[in-house]
Amino acid sequence: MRRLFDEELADLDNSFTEMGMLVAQTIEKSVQSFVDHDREGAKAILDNDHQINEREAAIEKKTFEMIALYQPVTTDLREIVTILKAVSVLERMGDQARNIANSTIRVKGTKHMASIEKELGEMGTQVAQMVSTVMGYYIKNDALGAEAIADENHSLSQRAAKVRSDSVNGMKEDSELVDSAADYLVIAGYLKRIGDYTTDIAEWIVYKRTGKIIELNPGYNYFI
Amino acid sequence: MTDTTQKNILETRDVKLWYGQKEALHGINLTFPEKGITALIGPSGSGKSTYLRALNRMHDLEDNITVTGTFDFNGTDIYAPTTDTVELRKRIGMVFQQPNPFPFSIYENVIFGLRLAGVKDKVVLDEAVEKALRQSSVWDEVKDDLHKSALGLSGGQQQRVSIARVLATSPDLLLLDEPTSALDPVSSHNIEETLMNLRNDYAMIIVTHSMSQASRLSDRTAFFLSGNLIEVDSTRHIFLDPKRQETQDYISGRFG
Amino acid sequence: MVNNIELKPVSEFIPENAPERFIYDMPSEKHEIALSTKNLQVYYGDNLALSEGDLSFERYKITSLIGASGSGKSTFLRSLNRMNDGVATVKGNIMYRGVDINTKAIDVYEMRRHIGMVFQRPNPFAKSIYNNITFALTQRGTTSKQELDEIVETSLKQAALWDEVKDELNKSALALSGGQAQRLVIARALALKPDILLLDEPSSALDPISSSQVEDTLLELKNKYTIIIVTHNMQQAARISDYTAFFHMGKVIEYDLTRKIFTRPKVALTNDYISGNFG
Repeated sequence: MRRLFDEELADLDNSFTEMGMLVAQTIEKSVQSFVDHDREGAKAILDNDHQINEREAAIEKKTFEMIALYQPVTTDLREIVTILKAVSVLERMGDQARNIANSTIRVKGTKHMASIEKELGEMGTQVAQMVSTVMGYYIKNDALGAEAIADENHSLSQRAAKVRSDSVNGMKEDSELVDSAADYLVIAGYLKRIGDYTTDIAEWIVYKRTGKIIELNPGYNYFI
Repeated sequence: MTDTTQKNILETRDVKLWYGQKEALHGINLTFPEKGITALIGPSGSGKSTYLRALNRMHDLEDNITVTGTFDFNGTDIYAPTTDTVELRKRIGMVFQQPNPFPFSIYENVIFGLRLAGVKDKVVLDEAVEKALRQSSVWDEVKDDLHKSALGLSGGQQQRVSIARVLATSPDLLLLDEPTSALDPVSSHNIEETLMNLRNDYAMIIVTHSMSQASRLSDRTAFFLSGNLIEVDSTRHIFLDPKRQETQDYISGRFG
Repeated sequence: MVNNIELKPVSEFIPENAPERFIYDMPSEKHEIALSTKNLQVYYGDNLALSEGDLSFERYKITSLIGASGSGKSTFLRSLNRMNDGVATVKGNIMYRGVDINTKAIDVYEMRRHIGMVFQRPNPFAKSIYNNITFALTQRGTTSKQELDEIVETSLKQAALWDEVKDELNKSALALSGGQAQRLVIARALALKPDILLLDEPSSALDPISSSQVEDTLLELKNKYTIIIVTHNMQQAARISDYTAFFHMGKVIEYDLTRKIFTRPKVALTNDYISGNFG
C-alpha cells in the first residue's frame, strides 16, 4: 500500500527540486540581464514567470491531495509539510526575480557605476548559488548544511550594505547617477530578500529532518 | 486509474430492494468501469453491503427479499431467469469479511471453483493454483505448504487464499465485503497491496468502513446513506471536494 | 504553543544514533501515576509473549497501546486486571495505589471493581438495559431501588447513552445497535465506579458512526477515569489518546506523548509502523 504513496511522494519531491532549480536559474538570469542592461532578457523572464506560479499551484494541489487521501504521519507528514511551506517561499523568490526584471525594463539612468554593477552581478550569482545549495541540502536531508546557509546569508547582507553605502556616496558625488543608484539600492534589497528566503527554506529542512521548528534568521538588520 | 474512455463492465439502474414490505434500497444508479477499484462507503444500514450482495445475487439464498432494476453485466442480465448463478458467481466473485477457507489443503481451496466446473487435468490445475496464488501475493509464503490445511494460515494469509480462490475461476469482477475489517493492520496492508496489484487487470468493488482505506486504495468512491446513493465520483473529488454536505460530514467524521 | 521556537544549534536536534527503544520517563512530581508495571513478563506455557513491558499510566489520561497482532499489547492489557489468570503466567509487579495487585493475596473480583474491562465485541447480557447495569451491583448486595436508579442514570449519562434509551430501560439490551450496546457495556463497567478502564479494541467491530460515539464517550470519561485502550486503528489512537505505547514482538518499543509519537517518534520501528510501512 505504501508503494503508490512512495511513488507519489518521490514525484512530489522531484517536482519541488526541479522548481527550485528553475527559480535559481531565473534569479541568476534576472540579475545578469540587469547588469547587462538587457531588456529583451528581462522581458523573457516576465514571459516565463507563469511557469513558476503554475508549478507552485500544481505542487500545492498535490500536497493537499496526499494529505486528504493518505493522512500521512511523522516523516511522511514532515516531508509533505516542508514541501508545502517551502514551495511558496520559492514562488516568492520568483516574484523577486520578476521585480528585478521589471527594474531592468524601466531603467531610466544613462550613467552607470561599473563597480556597483559588478558587485550586484556577483551578488546575483551568490544568491542563485545559495538557492541551488539549499535545494541540495533538501535532497540530502542535510540539516547541518541548512543551518550553514544562515552564515552565507550573513555575508550576502554585508555585500548588500556595501552596495547601499557605495550607491549613496555615488549619488552625493554625481547627481547624474541618481536614477541608476536608486535602482541599485532596490536591486540589492531584492537580492537580500531572496537570501532571507533561502534561510526560510533551510528552517523547513531542519524541520523535515528533526521535527523541530527553529529560527535561523534572527534578523541581521544590515539593509532595508 | 479511472479512464473516462474505459467501457463499463457493469451498469445498474434504478436498483430497489425490499426486505418483505420494507424498501431498503431506493433506486440506485451506478456503473462500473472494466478496470479499477470502486469503494462503497456509508454508515451501517446505508445499503452499501446490501447493494454489493445484489450484484452477484447473494440475496437469492434468502427468502423474503425482492430485487428490481436493471443489472447489465457486459450484456448479461444478471437477474434474467435464464442466468446460471453458478456461472455468474464465477464471473463475479465475492470475498467476505471473515476469511473463510474450507477445511482442506491450500491447493484444494484454490481449485474449489475449478473442480466444481469439472476441470480434472492436473497440469491445468497446478498452473491455475500457482497463477492465482501469485496474483493474490501469497505464493511465496505458501508454495511449500500447498498440501497443508488452509486453516493453519494466519488471518491475512487465509484472506489472500480466499482471494486466490476467487481469482482461480478467472472472474471479470471482484466484490469485496469489508475484506480487511477482521484483520490487524499488517495483514490489512498485505491485502491492500494485493488489491493494488490487481487493479490494472480487474474491476473491483469494495465495501469498507475505513475511510482511510477507501481514500488510499480506490479510484472511485460511492457514498451511500439510508438506502440512497448520495454521491459517486473519483476518490480524490470525494475526499477533497465532495459536492454534497452529507458526504462531507461523513468522510470528515462529523456524524449527527 | 506559538512561541515554541527553539534557538539552539541544529546539531542538538539530530540524534547521533536512533535509539532502539524509547520509554518516556514521566517525572513523578508532575504526573500522578494511576497504575504502573515493573518487570512484567507474560508466558503462555514456555512461550514468552511479553518480555519487556514496564509502563506507568498517568491519571485521568487516555493511553493507547498499539502494535501488530502478536506484539503483546492485548496480552499486556489483559494482565493489568488479571484476565490472564489461568491462561498465562504473569510475573512481575502491577502497582495500583501502592499495592502490588499481581499477587495471590489480592481479591481479584474486588480489584476488578477498580480496574474494569470492556471487550472488542459488545457483550450485553440477555437482560433489560436496566438490569445489565444493576446486575453486578445487586449481586454485591445493593438493593435500594433509589440508589440503583441513580446509578443507572449516572452511568448511562456518563456513557452518553442516557438520552437514547431513557424511555426504554426495560427493553432487552440485545435490541440495541452495536454502538449503543458498546456504550451500554461501558456504562455497566462505570456502574461499579472503577478508577481505571481497560478497553480492548472497543470500536473495531463498529461502523464509523458508532465508533465515533464511543470515542466521544471516552473523551468525556477521561475527566474522571484513567483509560487504557488497545486499538488497531492508528487514527483512533492519534485522535483520542494522550499517550501512546508501541509494542513489537513482546516489548514496549516506544512510549511517549501521542503528539510526539505521531509527529516525531524516536525509534525507526515506530515510525515505520505508524506510517504503514510494514516492510
